[in-house]
Amino acid sequence: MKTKNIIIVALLVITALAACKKLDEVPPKTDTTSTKNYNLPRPTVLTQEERDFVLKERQEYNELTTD
Amino acid sequence: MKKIFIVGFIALGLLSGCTKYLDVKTYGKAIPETSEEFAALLHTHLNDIDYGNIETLLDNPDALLDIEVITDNFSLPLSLSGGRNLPKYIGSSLNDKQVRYEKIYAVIRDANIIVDNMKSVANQGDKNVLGTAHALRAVAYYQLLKEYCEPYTTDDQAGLPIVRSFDMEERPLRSSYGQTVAFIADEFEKALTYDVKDDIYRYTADVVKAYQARFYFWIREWEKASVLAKYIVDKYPLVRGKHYVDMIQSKHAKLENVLLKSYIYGGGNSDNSAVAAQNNITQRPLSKNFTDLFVEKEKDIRYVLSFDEKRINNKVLNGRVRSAEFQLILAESYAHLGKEDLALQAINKLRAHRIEDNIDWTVATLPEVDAKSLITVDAEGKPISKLINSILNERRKELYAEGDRFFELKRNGRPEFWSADNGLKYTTEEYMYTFPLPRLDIEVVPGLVQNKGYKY
Repeated sequence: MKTKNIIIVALLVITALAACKKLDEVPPKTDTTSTKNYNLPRPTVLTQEERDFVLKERQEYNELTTD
Repeated sequence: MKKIFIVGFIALGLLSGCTKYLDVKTYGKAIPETSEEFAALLHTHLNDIDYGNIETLLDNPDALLDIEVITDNFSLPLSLSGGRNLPKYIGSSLNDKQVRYEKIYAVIRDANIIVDNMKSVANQGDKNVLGTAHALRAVAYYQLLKEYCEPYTTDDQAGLPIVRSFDMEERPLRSSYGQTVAFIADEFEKALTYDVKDDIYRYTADVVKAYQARFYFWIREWEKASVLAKYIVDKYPLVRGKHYVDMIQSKHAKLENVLLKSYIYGGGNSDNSAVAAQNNITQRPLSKNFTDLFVEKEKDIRYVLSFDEKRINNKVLNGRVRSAEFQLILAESYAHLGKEDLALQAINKLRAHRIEDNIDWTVATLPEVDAKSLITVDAEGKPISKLINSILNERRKELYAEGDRFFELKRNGRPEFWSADNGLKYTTEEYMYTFPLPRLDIEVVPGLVQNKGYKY
């Protein structure tokens, strides 16, 4: 019984002392890299007119670089 | 039994006495005390500029690559095989701008710690630290205003969440544009009262005035912008010829009339990404629309400096604050103020330093506005005049590859335009010129308003 009381008291004292550990005032610095993304418009398929425009641009550049 | 209860009661009392962990504000040891400790907070960010580490306050080569290749200065359909991983349009990097927003506020946090807690201003060393803290705060908020708010139309439009002191619990909502502008203007003035001259702090009084000019120019305060721009160009005269080429093509050294420069020290972690950026930009040729602006061809020193005969970039990528930008600010500010003669004088002065045998423009000889030009309205929303169009074209040539074009398009009407890759059309829409606030902030802070167009 006496031993049991001593153990209980010892456990209580240890718990009390451990609870009074000095905590960091400043939380650890973390780099927040997680982000949630926004939905952006999907690219659309070129119309024939737009394709012709792009083709013309490429032809002009090819002529420039093969001169 | 009674003893157990007594001991237990005492232990409980000890436990409940440990309430320090409930206090979330920082006190005592976490806050710097000496001016050297406060200065250390600044030098973290200043070193990032010097070593070209990250682009928070001044673009490094990598950031310049990303913001340049998505503009109409470059041609997406002409991209070479090595350019497949380059961003296709601004939409490719819009979600990343959320991280940039947080990085800029991290600079503000550190500036706030200094401004809030540095009590002693006993000597010039203390003044340098406090002055630089105010300067960083002003510049950071100016960057946020430029990127995350729409161009100025009224004081009531959405501004920024203004955080004036370090408080982890604070979750401010957006102030109005007018309130934000007033705060930034005040910060610039406060920075100047400390008259920082020591270059180690980078944001010396003249650098602050340069950013102040940029700020007033952005918010269309033409008179104030012109006064500051004139101060800069008078003190840091334009250069020409070999001096100009050496200044622009210098990889590290800050030469001639450059007031602030990113990546002045090599040999660090940024070397690989700087080399990669310089190589990668060659994988997307320039657009004919841009190169055709160089009417004088080789007589314009910028012609060969900027690109080669295959319209491939030649210019060294580096973030800079230099005098020519303020010559252009001066010219355009005068134009908006109706001072045509002074505007012509200012733009002709720049051209005289760049073009051999230059013939000054007069009102009668100004080039016509190109009907196919993307920009059709000026910063005030008026149809673009020949004078302002000519100034903007000179600016496009002068500040090519210096991170300016995208924001010029934003400032002058936010025109929608498209480019193509692999049969698909990518459209830069009006709302994309204004970057999104972080989605996490929008979800966590009740009442925080997102910019138009962003959905999830």
